[in-house]
Amino acid sequence: MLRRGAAQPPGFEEFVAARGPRLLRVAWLLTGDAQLAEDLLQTVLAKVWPKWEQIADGSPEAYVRTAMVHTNISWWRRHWWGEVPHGELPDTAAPSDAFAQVDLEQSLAAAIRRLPPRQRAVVVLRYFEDLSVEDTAATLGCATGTVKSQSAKALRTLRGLLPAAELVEGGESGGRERG
Amino acid sequence: MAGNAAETAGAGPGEPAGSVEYAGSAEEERALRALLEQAVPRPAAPAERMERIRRRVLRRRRRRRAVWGATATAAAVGVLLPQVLPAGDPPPRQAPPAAGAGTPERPEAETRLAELSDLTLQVPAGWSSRTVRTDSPEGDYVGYVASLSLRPSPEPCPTGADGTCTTPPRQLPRRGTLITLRLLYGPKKPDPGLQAREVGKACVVAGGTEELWAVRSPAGAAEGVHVLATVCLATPATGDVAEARTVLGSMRFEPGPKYRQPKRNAR
Repeated sequence: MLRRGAAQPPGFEEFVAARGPRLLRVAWLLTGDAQLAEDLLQTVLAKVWPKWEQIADGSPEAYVRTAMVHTNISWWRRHWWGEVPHGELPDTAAPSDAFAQVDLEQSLAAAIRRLPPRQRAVVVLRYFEDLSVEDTAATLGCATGTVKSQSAKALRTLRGLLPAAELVEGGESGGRERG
Repeated sequence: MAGNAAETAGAGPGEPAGSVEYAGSAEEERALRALLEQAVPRPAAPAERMERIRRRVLRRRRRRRAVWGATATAAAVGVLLPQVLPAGDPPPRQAPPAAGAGTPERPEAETRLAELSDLTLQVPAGWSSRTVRTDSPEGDYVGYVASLSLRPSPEPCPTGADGTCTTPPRQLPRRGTLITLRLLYGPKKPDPGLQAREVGKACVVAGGTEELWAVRSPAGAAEGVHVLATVCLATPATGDVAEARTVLGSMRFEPGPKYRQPKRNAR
């Protein structure tokens, strides 16, 4: 009576295996923390599990992504992880080796954590997931003008936190070209 | 990132946020995209991710079931009571014992509710107990302990599909006590004691005039397992509430072959 199994819906595990890595990166960018990212992803996948049959035929990745954005915002509202921004950002270095990559990740994580969750979400959706302003607005449930203003504020903040050289080198060394 | 982009931002003072245009250049956008693609790590998925998700699903179900139990117990009692209350008009209970006002009757019998993980209670002579399966999706059981004889109930409810039973409702006699017991799952909470509350519909249907409730973690309960007890009293006399409190205080989970230790992360 007390212990019941949870039957896994068909296709769910394949989806997690195929799209999990990308979704985990989205979660990392939303939270700025590897453990919280895994926690966020698992939380949302557990929410999606019972509804899988209804959403599998549509766009499950978009559904999960939207759920992650909103769940992360709700976590932030509850302050349940007691996040405290760093007083100073870590030093950064040119991304020429593994250490530099770690520095770059830490620098980005620290900068991302300075952003309010809605601005983080806009950055993730617009510049990591490459959604249009309209799609970003639909995902967040807000107006396109809000997306634009949040983008502007987020970029202004990041501009002050991320050294220009980092951005330029990042763009030259491994960036995807977007139209 | 272009240093002069800040000056091009349209978010000037006094300007509505909705009218702000994107502040960065196309080059800046491209650089940010590239930076994100490069800097966002690619952490490896934990090997047991699917198992962890499955456990979270189970925990969510337990939490939802606990909420469901707390809010729907009254409705379940209303649905199920007609099955367990006896036909005919039972005689009123005897007068309070001569030992004095407020002295509860001594527990004289032990009753065990097998379907509630062998929840065991000490009850006064003449009391009886039953368990009835609910029509919840999980098929949970509700336990009834009463100061009158409860007749066996068919299982599940013969008309469970529409949530009602065919047996006409019966009334608790004057000074009758009906305790409804249900298992809850969730984090430990402080025990506020036996609290009075507005008489619920289910208790009214049963003929009750006063209602009390409590959430207890009886001796022997596994971590996160609690018992929601609802006490329905029909025109109680002095000592009846104390008697119910004594019965609830005797609750314990009896270890045995049928007892299964619920685990928070059980599959």
